[in-house]
Amino acid sequence: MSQSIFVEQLTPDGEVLHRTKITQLPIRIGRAYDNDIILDDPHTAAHHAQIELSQLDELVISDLGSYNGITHANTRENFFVVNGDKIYRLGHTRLRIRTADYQVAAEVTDYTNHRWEGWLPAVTGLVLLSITGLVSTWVADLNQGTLSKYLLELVSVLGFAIGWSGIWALFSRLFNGHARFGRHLFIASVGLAGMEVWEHLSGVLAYALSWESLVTFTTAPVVVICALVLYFHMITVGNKRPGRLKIYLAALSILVIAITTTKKYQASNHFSDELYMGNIYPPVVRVSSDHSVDEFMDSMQSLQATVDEARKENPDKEDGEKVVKKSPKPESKPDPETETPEQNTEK
Amino acid sequence: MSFPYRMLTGAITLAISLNLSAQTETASPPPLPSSAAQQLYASAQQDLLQLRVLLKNGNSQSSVGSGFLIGNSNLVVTNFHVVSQIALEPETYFGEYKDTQGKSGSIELLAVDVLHDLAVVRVARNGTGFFKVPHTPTQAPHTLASDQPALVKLTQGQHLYSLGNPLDLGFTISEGTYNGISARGFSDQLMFTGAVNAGMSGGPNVTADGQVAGVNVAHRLDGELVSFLVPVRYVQALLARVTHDMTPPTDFKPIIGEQLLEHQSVMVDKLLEKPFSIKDLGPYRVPVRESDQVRCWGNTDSSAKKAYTIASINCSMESAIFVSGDLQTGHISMHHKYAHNKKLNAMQFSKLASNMFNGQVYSTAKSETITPAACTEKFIAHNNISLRALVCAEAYHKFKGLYDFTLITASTDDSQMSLQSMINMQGVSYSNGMKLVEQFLQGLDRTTQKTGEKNRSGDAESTDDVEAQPLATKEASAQNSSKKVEAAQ
Repeated sequence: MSQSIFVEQLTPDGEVLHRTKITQLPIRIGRAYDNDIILDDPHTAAHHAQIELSQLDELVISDLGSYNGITHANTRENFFVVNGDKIYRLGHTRLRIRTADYQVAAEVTDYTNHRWEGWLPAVTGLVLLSITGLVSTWVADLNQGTLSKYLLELVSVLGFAIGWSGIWALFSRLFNGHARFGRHLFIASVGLAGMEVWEHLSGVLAYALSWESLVTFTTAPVVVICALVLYFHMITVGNKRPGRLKIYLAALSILVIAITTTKKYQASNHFSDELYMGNIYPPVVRVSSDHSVDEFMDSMQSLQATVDEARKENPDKEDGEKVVKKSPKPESKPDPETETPEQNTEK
Repeated sequence: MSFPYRMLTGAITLAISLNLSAQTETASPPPLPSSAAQQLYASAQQDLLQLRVLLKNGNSQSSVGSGFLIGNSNLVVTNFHVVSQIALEPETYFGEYKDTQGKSGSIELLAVDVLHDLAVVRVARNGTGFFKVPHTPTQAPHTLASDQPALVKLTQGQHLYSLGNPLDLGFTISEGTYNGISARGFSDQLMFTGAVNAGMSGGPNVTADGQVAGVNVAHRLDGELVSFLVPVRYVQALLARVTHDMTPPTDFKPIIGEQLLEHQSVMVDKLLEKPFSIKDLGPYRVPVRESDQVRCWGNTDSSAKKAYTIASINCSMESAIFVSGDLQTGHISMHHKYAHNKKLNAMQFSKLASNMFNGQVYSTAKSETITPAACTEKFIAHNNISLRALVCAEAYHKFKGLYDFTLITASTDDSQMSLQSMINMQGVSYSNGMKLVEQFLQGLDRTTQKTGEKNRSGDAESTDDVEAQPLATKEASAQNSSKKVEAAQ
C-alpha cells in the first residue's frame, strides 16, 4: 500500500470524534479488542467490517456478517467502494474513510474581525446605547426631570444589555469555549439602540412624507430587529450553518408577526398596531403636501361603505353564547342603583 | 363619558314585603286625617304597578321600575329605559308586573318613545280610572298637540306628588314642587324638586287633585332633590297611537332606529341653525356651540413650574338618549386644547403634542352595539391654518343609518404651539356627520400675524379669553380675518 488511510468517526453533525491513521491493509473494525479500530457502539458486531483493497485495486469496506450491517444513505450493502466524501453507518457509528491524497476544500476567507473582541466592542456598544437612551429620555422629559431620573433610566437600560449579553456569553463559553462577552454586548446594544433610532426615524419619516404605515405598524420592525440580533448572537456563539439559521429565524419572525397581527385584527378589525399616526412634529419636518377640506370630506364619505359592510343586524343570534354571557351585564350596571341608595340614606 | 343624569331603574335583589312598607308610608302622619298625599296614595294605589324585567334563563330580575294604569284601560305607561331590554332582546328577557297588593302578572310591550323615554305595556287587568290622560286616537305618527284634549296647566311652586317603588323597597309617594321646564335636552323635561329615586322610574307624577303631570324619569346625582319628569303631553301623544287590543310589533329595533334618526335630524338642525360661535385660543380661532342644550367649560393649566401651558374649552350636550345599558346615543361634544411652549425644546414640544394627539380614538371589534372604526387621516390646509386631521366612523349594528363619528385635529403650523380639537358625535346620520365635521373644520382658523413676538404677546392676553365672537358665515370669517390683516399693517 502506497499511502496511508484515515478512518474518521463522526458525530451526527459531521464533526470528527476520532481520526485513526492506517498504514497496513486490511484492517478490521468492531467491538472486540483484536480489531484495528475498536468501537464502543453496542449496535456493532464484535467483528463488524473490514477495509481492504479489492482485486481491482479499489479500497472497499465490507460487512463481516454483522447483524446491523453497513449502510450508506439508508441502503444496506455487503460492501461499498470507499468514497472520501461519503459516510458509512455501522450500527450507530458513522465512519468516513479518506486516503492521504484526498483533495480538501479551498481555504475559507476569514471575515472575523479578530480585533473586534473584548473591551473595544463592549465600550462602543455601551456608549451607543447611552447616547440613544439619554436622547430618548430627554425628548420625552416634558416635566424637566432631575438628573437622577436620567441616571435611573440609563442604569436600567445598560443593566438589561449587560445581563442579556452575559447569558449569551455563557452559551458561547459552553459551546465554543470562548465567551466573547464584548461582542455579545455590542450586538445587544446595537439592537436596542436600533429600536430606539427606528422609533424616532420612522416617526419623522412617516410625518414628513405622509407614510402613515411606518408608524401604524410597530410590531414587524421590532420583530425583524430582534431576529437580526438573535442571528448575530448565534453566529457569535458558533453556529456553523448560517444559511439554515437564517431560514429558521425568518420563519420564526413571520410566525410571530402573523400571530400578533391576527390577535390585533380580532380585537380591533385592523391589521395595523395603531389606528392612526399620532405623531406631531415641527412644521420644518414636513415634505408632503397638504390636502383641501373637500378632499378630506371625500375620503370621509368613502368610509361609509366600510362601516356599513361591518354591520351585523343581530350579533347575538350569530353566536348563542353571547346572549348568556350578556346577562350579568345589566345587573352589573349598578351606577344608578348602587349610588342612589347611598345618597338616599344620607338624606 | 358619564352623564349627570341617572336613569332610575332599580336592580336591587333584596325582597322586602311591599305591603308592609306601603302601610307604614301611609300611616306615618296619624293626627292629620286627610293630607293631600295620604288621599292621593289611597286612591292611586290600585292603579300603581311595579314593573320588573326578568331573564328568561334563570328567572332572576335584571331591572325594576314603576308604571301606572291609564284610566279604565289595560294600558300601563312607564319609562322606555325600564323595559328597554324587552324591546331590544325579547329572546332573552321578559317582563312582569306586581301591584300594591303583591299580585303579579305578565306584561306585553306595545309601543315605545325612545326620545322621551316612554313606553306603553299591556297587562291582563283594568285600571280603576284614577290616572286619566285624555287622548284621541290617531293613526298619524306625529300627533299635533292641538288635535288632542287640553292637559293640566302647571305653575311654578305648585305641589306635585311622585309615586313609585324606589329601590324595590315598597310603594311610596313623595311630595315636591314644580319648578318649570328644563331646556337642557332637545325635548322638554319638567323640573321637580322632590325625591325621585331609582325604581320610581315610569311612575306617575300627579297634582294635588290627581291629574297626571308627568312621568318620573331621572334625577341629578350631583344635586339634592333635582328630579325630572316627562311632561304628560308626550304620554298623550304616545297613547294616541296605541289601542287596547292592538297587536304589538314583533321587532322594536326598526321603530327605535326610526325614532333615533328623527331625533338626530332635529338635534343637528338645532345645533346648526346658526353657525358655530368662534372663540380665541392663543392665536387660533376655534368653533364652539353654546346653547341651552350644549354647555361649555373652560380651563387653563399654567402653573409656573410647568414648561408649557394648556388651555382648554370643552362643550358637551347635557342630554343623551338612553337606548340600552351599554348604548347611550344622540350626544355631541366638542373639545379644544391649546398647548403653548414655555421652556421645552422643539422636539420635546412635538413629543407633548404627540402625546396629546395620540390614543384619542380606538377601535374595537368586540362591541355588540357599534362596528369597528373606519378612519381616514390627512394633512389639510384651509383658511389660515394647516392641520393634521383624522376622522373615524362607526356604524350601529342594530340601527341602520346611525353612526358615531370622531374628528380629531392638530395644528401643524407652529413648533411652539399646538391646537388640538375634537368633535365627537354619537347617533347621527352619515350626511349629518359629514355636515358637522365640515363645519367644525371650517371653523378652525388662525389669526394672521405669525411672527413669534406677536404670537407671544397676543397669546398672553387671549389664552384665557373665552368670549364668544359669533361670526355669521364662512365668508364673514374670511372678511373678518382680512380686515385684521389691514389693521395689523
